[in-house]
Amino acid sequence: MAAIRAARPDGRADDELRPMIADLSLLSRADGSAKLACGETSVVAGVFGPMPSRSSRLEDPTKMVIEVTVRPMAGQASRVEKALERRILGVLERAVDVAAHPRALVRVAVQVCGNGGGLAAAALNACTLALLDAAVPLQYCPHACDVAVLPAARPSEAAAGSGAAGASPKPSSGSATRLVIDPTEEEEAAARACFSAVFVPADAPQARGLATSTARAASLRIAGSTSREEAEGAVALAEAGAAAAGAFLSLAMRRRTAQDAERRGVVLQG
Amino acid sequence: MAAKRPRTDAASADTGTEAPRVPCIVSAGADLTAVAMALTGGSARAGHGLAASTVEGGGVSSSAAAAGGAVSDSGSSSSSSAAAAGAEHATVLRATKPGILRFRAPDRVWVETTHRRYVPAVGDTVVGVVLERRAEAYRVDVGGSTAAFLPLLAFDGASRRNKPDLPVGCMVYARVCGVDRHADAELTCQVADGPKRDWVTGESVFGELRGGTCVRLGVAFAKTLLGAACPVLAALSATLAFEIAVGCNGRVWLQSGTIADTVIAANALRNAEHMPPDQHAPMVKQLLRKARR
Repeated sequence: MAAIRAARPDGRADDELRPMIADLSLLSRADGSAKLACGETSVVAGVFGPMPSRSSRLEDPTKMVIEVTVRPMAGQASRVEKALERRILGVLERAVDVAAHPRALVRVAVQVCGNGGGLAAAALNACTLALLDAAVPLQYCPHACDVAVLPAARPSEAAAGSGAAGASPKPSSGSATRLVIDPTEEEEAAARACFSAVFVPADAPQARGLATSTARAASLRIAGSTSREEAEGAVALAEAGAAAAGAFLSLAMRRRTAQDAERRGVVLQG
Repeated sequence: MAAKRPRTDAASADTGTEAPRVPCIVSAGADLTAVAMALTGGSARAGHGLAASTVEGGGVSSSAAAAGGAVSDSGSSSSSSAAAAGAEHATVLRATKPGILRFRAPDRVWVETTHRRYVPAVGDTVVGVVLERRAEAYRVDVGGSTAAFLPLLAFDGASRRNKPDLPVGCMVYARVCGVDRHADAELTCQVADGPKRDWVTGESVFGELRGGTCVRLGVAFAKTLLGAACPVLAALSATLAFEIAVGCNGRVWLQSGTIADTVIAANALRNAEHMPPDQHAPMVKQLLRKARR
């Protein structure tokens, strides 16, 4: 085993998330909005609806239609943003109770305000929080987490301080590659593979995906090359991270509800 | 032995086997079956923010979501399936919105949320804007998930020859009399009970709202304005004279003698939404003092 475990640039452990900050109801015209910041990554999500759809193309007589838009910090939306839109739409279409409001439309707009790594997870968590803020009926709350597979650096290289970008792990280094959770932008650039996973509760209705004991991976995106053991380890680590992120989102909503109750003079007893 | 109980969410703190105390905070997606059954003694009617679904042996479930406030027949099916011993399917009651769980005897359970988007419910009074005039009804925007329709003759004392002509874009105060998940909500300007005034006289409670201004508030706060003890309206009416029409869809129409008075009243309502009730009267006093009234 390698004697020295290389620390991450910001001093976190391999399985430690960045501290998250959530702001709710910051947009005055949206029905619900949330800003989620994890380190340098920050995303604002706004939800409009359920509202009457303007065109018959977007109207479905049996269920609610969800429209997702992702805009980058600067420039036009490209392939990357479109792919993220499709991923988020696939998750939300099953998480939202679409049978509750037929013929209605829900628009989810995501604006990237800063990209410091782990963008897909932050975007999806912000969408979940904004949907909760707008009180759109949800069957369950999806939570996301990103994991990166970093090639292990030998102790001498770690002392040199340079990331082994693209270098294959030497067999003589002993320890295998590292799995780090919630990677920063530098770690994502140096990684051999990046996992982006979305988890939903295992007993959630209408949920599909890889099932573990307590959660299902409803959406999994792997960029790079990886082995099966690494993939399983990464999914397990991402599940733990998503559970922690979910606990934070749930805490944010509970605190907001408690503040509203106090403001309206409702005495809570539960 | 009880019927097959649904798997409860272990991480959720809302499921308790003892008598749960309400009101309490619930998260979206939380399994509230045990809580609801304990509160209501086995028969729970899923109100706003809850959805009942039947799980047949852990297979694919068909959920029947309940619209806000309306009685759902899934509620009765949940009571019957819970009462049947040895039933193959169990009913799972989930919260679909985060908020405060409320209970009213004997069997009403619902989640109170603070949101801005209106969900139509029968009996609500709403302030809407006329979008267009169709052959049989006006199409009115009430800020809900669909537009609402107001039949041309749904005014007190209206007949085919003698009916009001509402221009497109005008504000109208109406009552929700029919709600369907798949269709538009139905409005009417006829009073449900009480003295009926013809629309011709201009003194009917419902109908067109001329002049004044419309304030957009949250749905939950607008409902508290209709309550008996409303500190902000009481404090305002002590000094100002104004007309008000409160819409449960979060829109409140105000009209007063002068523009300054209307603005004071509108600002007082906007401030009061974010203050506890005991601070309403001092806030109104400060607004009036600044305007030197």
